[in-house]
Amino acid sequence: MRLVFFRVLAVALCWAWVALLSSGCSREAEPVLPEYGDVPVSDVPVYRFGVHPLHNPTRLHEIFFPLMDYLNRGIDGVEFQLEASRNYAAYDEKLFQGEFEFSLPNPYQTVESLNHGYHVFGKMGDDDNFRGIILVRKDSGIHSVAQLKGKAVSYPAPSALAATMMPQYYLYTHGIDVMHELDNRYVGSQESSVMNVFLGDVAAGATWLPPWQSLSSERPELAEQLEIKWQTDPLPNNGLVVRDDVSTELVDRVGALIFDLHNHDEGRAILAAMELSRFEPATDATYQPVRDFIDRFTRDIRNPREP
Amino acid sequence: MPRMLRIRRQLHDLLFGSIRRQLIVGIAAVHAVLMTIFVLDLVERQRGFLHDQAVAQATSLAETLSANSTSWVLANDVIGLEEVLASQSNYPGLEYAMVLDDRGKVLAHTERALTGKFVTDSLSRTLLSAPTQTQRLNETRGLIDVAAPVMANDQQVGWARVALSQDENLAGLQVITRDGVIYTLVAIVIGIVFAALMAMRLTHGLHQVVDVSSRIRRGERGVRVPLARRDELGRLGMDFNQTLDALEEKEQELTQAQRELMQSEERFDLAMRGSNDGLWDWDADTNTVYYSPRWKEMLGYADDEIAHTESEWSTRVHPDDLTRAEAAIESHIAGKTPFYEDTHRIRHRDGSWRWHLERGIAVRDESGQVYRMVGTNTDITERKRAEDALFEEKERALVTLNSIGDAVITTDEAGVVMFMNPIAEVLTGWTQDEAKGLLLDDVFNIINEQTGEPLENPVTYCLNQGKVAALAGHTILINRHGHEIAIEDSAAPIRDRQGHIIGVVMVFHDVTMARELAQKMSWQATHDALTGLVNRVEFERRLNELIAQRWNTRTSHAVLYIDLDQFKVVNDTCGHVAGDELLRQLSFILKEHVRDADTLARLGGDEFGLLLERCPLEKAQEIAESLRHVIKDFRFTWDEKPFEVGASIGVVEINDDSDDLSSVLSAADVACYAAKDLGRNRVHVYEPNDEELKQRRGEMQWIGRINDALARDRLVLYGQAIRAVRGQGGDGEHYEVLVRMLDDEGGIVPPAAFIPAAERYNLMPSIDKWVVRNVCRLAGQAQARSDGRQLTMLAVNISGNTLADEDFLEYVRSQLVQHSVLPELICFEITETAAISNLAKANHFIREMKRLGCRFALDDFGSGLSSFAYLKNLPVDYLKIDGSFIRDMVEDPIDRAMVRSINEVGHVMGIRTIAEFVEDRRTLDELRAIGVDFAQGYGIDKPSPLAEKFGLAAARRAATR
Repeated sequence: MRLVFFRVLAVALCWAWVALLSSGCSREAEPVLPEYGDVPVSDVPVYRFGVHPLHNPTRLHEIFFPLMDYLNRGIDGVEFQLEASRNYAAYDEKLFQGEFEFSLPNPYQTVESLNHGYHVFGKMGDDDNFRGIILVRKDSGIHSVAQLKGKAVSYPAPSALAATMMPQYYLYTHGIDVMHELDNRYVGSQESSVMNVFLGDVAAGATWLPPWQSLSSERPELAEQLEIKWQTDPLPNNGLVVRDDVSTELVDRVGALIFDLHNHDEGRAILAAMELSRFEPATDATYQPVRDFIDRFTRDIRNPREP
Repeated sequence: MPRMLRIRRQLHDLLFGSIRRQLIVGIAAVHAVLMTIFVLDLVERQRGFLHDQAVAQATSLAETLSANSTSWVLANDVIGLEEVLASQSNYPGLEYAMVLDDRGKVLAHTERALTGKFVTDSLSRTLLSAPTQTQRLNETRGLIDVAAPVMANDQQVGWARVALSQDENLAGLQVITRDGVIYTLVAIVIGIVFAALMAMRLTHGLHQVVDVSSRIRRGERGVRVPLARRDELGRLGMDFNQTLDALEEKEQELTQAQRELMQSEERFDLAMRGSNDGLWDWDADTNTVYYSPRWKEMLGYADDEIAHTESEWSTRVHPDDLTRAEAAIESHIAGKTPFYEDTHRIRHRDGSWRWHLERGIAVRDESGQVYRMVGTNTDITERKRAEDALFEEKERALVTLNSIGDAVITTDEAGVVMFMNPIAEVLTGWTQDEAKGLLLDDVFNIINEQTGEPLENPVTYCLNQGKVAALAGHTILINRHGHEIAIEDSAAPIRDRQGHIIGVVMVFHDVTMARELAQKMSWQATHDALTGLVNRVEFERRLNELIAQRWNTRTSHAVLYIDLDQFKVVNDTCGHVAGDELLRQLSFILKEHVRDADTLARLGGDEFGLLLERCPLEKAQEIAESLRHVIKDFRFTWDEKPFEVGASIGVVEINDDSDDLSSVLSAADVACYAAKDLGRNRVHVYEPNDEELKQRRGEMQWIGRINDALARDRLVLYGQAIRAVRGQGGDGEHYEVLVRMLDDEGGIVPPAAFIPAAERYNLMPSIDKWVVRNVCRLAGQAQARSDGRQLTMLAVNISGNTLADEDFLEYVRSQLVQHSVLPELICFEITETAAISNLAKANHFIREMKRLGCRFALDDFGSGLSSFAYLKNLPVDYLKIDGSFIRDMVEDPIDRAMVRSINEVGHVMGIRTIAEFVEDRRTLDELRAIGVDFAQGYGIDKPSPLAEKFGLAAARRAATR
């Protein structure tokens, strides 16, 4: 009896010490460290679909992701990947370096892209909406363009065609030396440009119709206190371009899907998020008016690439 | 191996060789175990805490990275992502952090060179297809690797993955462990020091006890433990010292006791040698037996020839005796007997069997357990031989006496009972043990069967006369229980060699059965088994005696002939068991109402006879009347249904004129039937000059006459009209057909004269068939000549006997066909009693005939059982209300009510009613008021030949022939 007790005690002790001494140094399992390679796991070819920074990346994703999803479901064996950009500069850089297979640049960038290995295969419809507008506060007392002289005007970005270049050209054609008689403020985005007017930081704010329409419906106080004072003539809407090395067959299939959007419910839902009624086929020639406008603008006002 | 064992032994001695070492090792071990468990638990808890913390940190980092990366991932903006990563790269312990797009491309990595590569390991691949929630990829002691999904608008666009090194935590844990080990060791050392001190103090006292005990063992006495402590050791020392004191004392006592024992044994040995018995002494503990030299010598052995084993005894005991002897020993050991004693055979050395009486007594300890048994053996062979011889002789005699069927009692010369065999015990009611020593008169009490006088005891006779006495023929023994037993037999004296009577042997046997059987046979020959009354044979014998004595006596006697009415109804409706029971009960009642001297007999069936000795006719008539009342008042109940019976009683006087037995019986029979004819339940006295009775007396002759009349067509059909009470009944004419007989002179014999005889001798079926045949012929003729006139319906009476006739139904059918009679023209009248007596057959007949179209009338309704319930079972068309109600209905309101209710019930059941015995206009008016449908009787129409009623010449010819 006594011996049994001592034996049990001894065994317990040995076990406990082994456990104690081993606890400091033993490892139960080795972690699986990541390994890297040059090839993706999936071999499906990826087509990057760059959209010019109409909105911030998240909003852009919200609006355009359904289109990508639609294309991915409609075409087997390839994957379309939406790519936003932090700003126009970044977008321009990626576009002009030919990083996107497909892209939706603004009309100005569309024209530019033709010199960087792309060609036009379609465009957004609703050209009539592609015009610049100039907003003022209703209580600003501004009635004529001339009243803006010496005042600050906000624009989204120097190279924005409808929201910046076209309003500037309008002001120019209405007797203002844009580069010298105005305090031109490039505030980064459409929303920002509108908010600058609303908050009274600038006398007038330039933007274009679709962003204004969605903003004013989201925030009724904007529509209440601001008004569209002037609007420019329209130009062809944003273009759909494709890199020259992409097969005609794929371009045709993409075109067929996109130009058919307005014919069915899912497509109409996708277009509605873009405030657009349809996409339509187009060619490089469709953008000759834009090319002409850029030439005039460059000649009369400034190099679009510089503020 | 021995070397291993030695080392093990040495190690064991080193650790556990003394209580002191055991204490030290034990306490050190307890410290070691407790401290180890404590430190182990502490380290484990710390590890768990640090791990959880690291996981939380990594998760938080990954989720922050994920949240900050969304826009850059969407924009595929490597520069932006790298800026985000840079803000986290300085996190302490960060192993790596990366942002992956949803295809596994590294968009940014803390190791810049990896940007643009793809993750290829299996874990990462799993991650790419994992659900969009934070994933723990690695969770080892060294590394925590967590990935959080990068989400944009609920769409997953990539993964933010962070890995934290655990090395610092591990280093901290090792320090804690090392410190724990040091604490444990210190605790063990301190434990050992204290244990050593404690053990030294404890074991010092123990060593002193051990020292003293080893000195005691070496033989020293007077040494004691010098422990002056107050703890358990002190008490142990004190107890030890006291034990030593007690032991020394016991040692001295033991020496003294041994000395006394030796002396005692010497004395005992001397005593045994003096006696001639053998001694044995069994020791239970060792199971050895000491056999004394004398014991061995008794079996022819020397002292050294028998060992001290139990088998020396058991192998020598006779096998037939051994089991019993052993059982006796066991019984004594079990405490069931005060001592052991057995007589058995035991084998002598010379091979002979010696009878030994073996006695012994067990010695028990305080708990009653036997530890020793001592006893002696005595050789009783010679005595046994003598006993056996005597026993055999006696046994032979006893067995003989016990085996014989006769009772045997022996007495001594004074008549005192010495012996009784079993039969004698049974007969007298005394057992031998009880009777032994009593005088025979006390045990054997006899009387004369016929006189009841006490008889002289044959033994007394034998002793007095000195010769054999035979028992008288009618002897009855009254035994101890008062039972009377018929016996027969004799007694004889027993004499000694000198011829002196030394006792008597009496032999007798039971003859009760034989005598009873004889009596029973005689009773059965003269009695009826069912009622216990005298039977016809005995009745006639006694009657004959009376007739024979008629000349010797002045007074006259009378004979009553009783026939039960309605008995057949009980028998037929409730079965023979009920009928038998009725007869039994009625016999019992009747017996109470006649004198003992009179003879009441059951003559057969429901007929009884009563012989009244010395009884004048008037008295006999009174008795008959009273018996009739008794029977009438008797209510028999069966299955909760009450039944009434009546009796028709014929009375005949036996006087000088009475011829012989048969004439008297015949007269009684005739009188009885006259009573029946006159309406049952009455008494009729036979008078020799009564014309009517004379006629009946020759009833036997009627059989011949009726058969003759049937054969010669000397029967005539009469008819009596039945008319509607209110104008036309709508059924045309309606006659009840009656039958008359022509005597040799052409006179008309009324039905009352021959119908009872016909019924009694089962001639009714023949008469009914004759009637049916002739009615059909008549009806057929009338029908042929009817010329469309409304036809006459004829009602034919059918008796009960006829209903029971199997052929009758077929006969009627054939007659109807033969004479082409419309069945609707035939109505059958059946009396209620006849229908009920043969209910099943009646029903069958009625249904079959009704199927053809025949009508049915229930005759004499109300006179019999009058149960409306039967009416439901009998699909009749007419109900003929019994004339007894009609006759007096004008005067008697009860009769009127009866008629009214029968009429009402009939109408409710859709049955039309006919009143019989309508004799005057007042009755007819009353019937009309009640609403009875039809009437019949002398007041309506008198019976006349049917052929005349029909106006048929042929029929008239038949009637006048």
